[in-house]
Amino acid sequence: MGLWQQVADGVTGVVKGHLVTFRNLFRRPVTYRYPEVRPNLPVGTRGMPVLLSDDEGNLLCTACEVCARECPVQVIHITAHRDENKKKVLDEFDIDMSRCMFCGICAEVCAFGAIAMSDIYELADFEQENLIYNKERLAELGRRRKGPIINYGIKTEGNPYQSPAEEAEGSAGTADKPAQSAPATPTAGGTSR
Amino acid sequence: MYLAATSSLPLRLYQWTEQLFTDLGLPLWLLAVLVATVKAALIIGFILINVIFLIWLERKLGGHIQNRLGPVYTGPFGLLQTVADALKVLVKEDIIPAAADRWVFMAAPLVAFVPSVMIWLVVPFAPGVQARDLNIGTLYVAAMTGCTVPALLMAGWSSGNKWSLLGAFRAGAQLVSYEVPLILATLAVVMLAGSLSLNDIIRAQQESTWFIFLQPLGFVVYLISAIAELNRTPFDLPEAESELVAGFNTEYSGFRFAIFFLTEYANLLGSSAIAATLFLGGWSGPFLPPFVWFLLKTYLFVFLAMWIRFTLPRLRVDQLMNLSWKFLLPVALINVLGTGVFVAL
Ligand code: SF4
Ligand code: SF4
Repeated sequence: MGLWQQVADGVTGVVKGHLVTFRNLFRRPVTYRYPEVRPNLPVGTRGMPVLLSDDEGNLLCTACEVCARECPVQVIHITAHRDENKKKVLDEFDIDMSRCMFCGICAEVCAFGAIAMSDIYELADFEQENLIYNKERLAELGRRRKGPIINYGIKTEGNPYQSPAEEAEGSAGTADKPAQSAPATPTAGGTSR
Repeated sequence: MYLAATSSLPLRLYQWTEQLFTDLGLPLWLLAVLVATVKAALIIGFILINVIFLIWLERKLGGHIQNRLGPVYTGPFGLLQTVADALKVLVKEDIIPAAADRWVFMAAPLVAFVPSVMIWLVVPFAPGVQARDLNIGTLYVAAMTGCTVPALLMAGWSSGNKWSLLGAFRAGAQLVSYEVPLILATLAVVMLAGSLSLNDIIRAQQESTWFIFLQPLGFVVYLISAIAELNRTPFDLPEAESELVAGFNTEYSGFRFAIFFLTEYANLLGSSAIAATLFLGGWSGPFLPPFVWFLLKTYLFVFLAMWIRFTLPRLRVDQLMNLSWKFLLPVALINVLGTGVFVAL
């Protein structure tokens, strides 16, 4: 390749690059102004794992402890006892969210579809103990399910940072889910991944 | 500012002060000192305001080129972002490393800052508004931009840190290499105008046309060399983050770092103003007041520099040297030769 060819290539390359950046200068930015505008996450997003209940509000979990064994970081703690029919009954089900890495393995291995990844991801707290979610809290969050389970994930409704009682009172103060929401991402609805 | 008849208010003010001085029996050199101080204060104020805006502009432009938003929270459109940053930097501790050469380390930012202000001595803002119309204006500008090298070497050497030293060496090599094509590109303009004074160059452009049309090659050479002189991407080797942490200003923090940052942008503004004067006819232009034209043209160059920064990746050291010595220098020489023939005809 001759020198002139090189120079010509260099110049065309540089000019082309500048045209690309110039076009992008006038494109609409893709940034969500996060605290004000929240992303409309697709179902199957891996937020915190929650426990699902049946229509009567009973937990689906059978205390088989498969999830506790499969959890890579061992943050699920289950205690259970056997009732008179030798059937296992769940006593405690704690997930230490401070160490959960949202891998979704617990939801994948559960044979009963009793645990699912929710779209809740804002877990910051001032007390470390509050990050250990017990059975009641996980179940309560699971009952906020809206729509089907896709890719072991669910979407929730309402404000997950308030208890149902607080929500009923309509007490302000804690973070409200804002009315404004970003346009749905193209993957919303969740196809096989 | 240069007190020509066009601006009557400063002239009257000057005459009034002169009268006051003679009435009070004060020596006239005191008046000269006063006038110089006022000019310097005005110029530094102009630079500071523009730098605040420039830093915001750079971040906003960079953001939008990368489909982001840039600063949004501080003030309208995030305009006060630089103010917030400056406050943050100024309250930080001024750390001087134990291994540093204390006095040289402390002086380096100031040595870097002074030439960036000195350039503005000859920049014509509008007809007659100029701190001093030196008849060797362009030569003076070239000398002042060259003064950045010792400051960077001082910073790098005195930090007592290998990254700083490497950055400083790179800065030295780069500035010396690119000074040559830069001056040759300026030389072609000077040959066309027949004068070294920036005011005469503007007048020559008013008579013929903007020199960018007569000197397209010279303009390109000037633009590339000027960006290299400013240590901006794609020529930011002296402070290449991924290679040298932060190059010559690795060890600087707080106030001194702020001065380096300020210098960088003051230099960008200065180079843009000089480029606008040399190639785009400075303040001359129809309809709008001259000062507005001057600002518009300066900011056109600023935009070019920022656009290039957010488009091209950083060069390697050998590519940098090749570009200067094997490409820009011959092109600039041919340009000077061609201009010589053109002027002689
Ligand atoms: S959540 Fe599923 S896997 Fe885990 S203990 Fe309950 S039933 Fe078993
Ligand atoms: S998401 Fe992963 S880390 Fe978190 S509890 Fe489930 S298996 Fe453990």
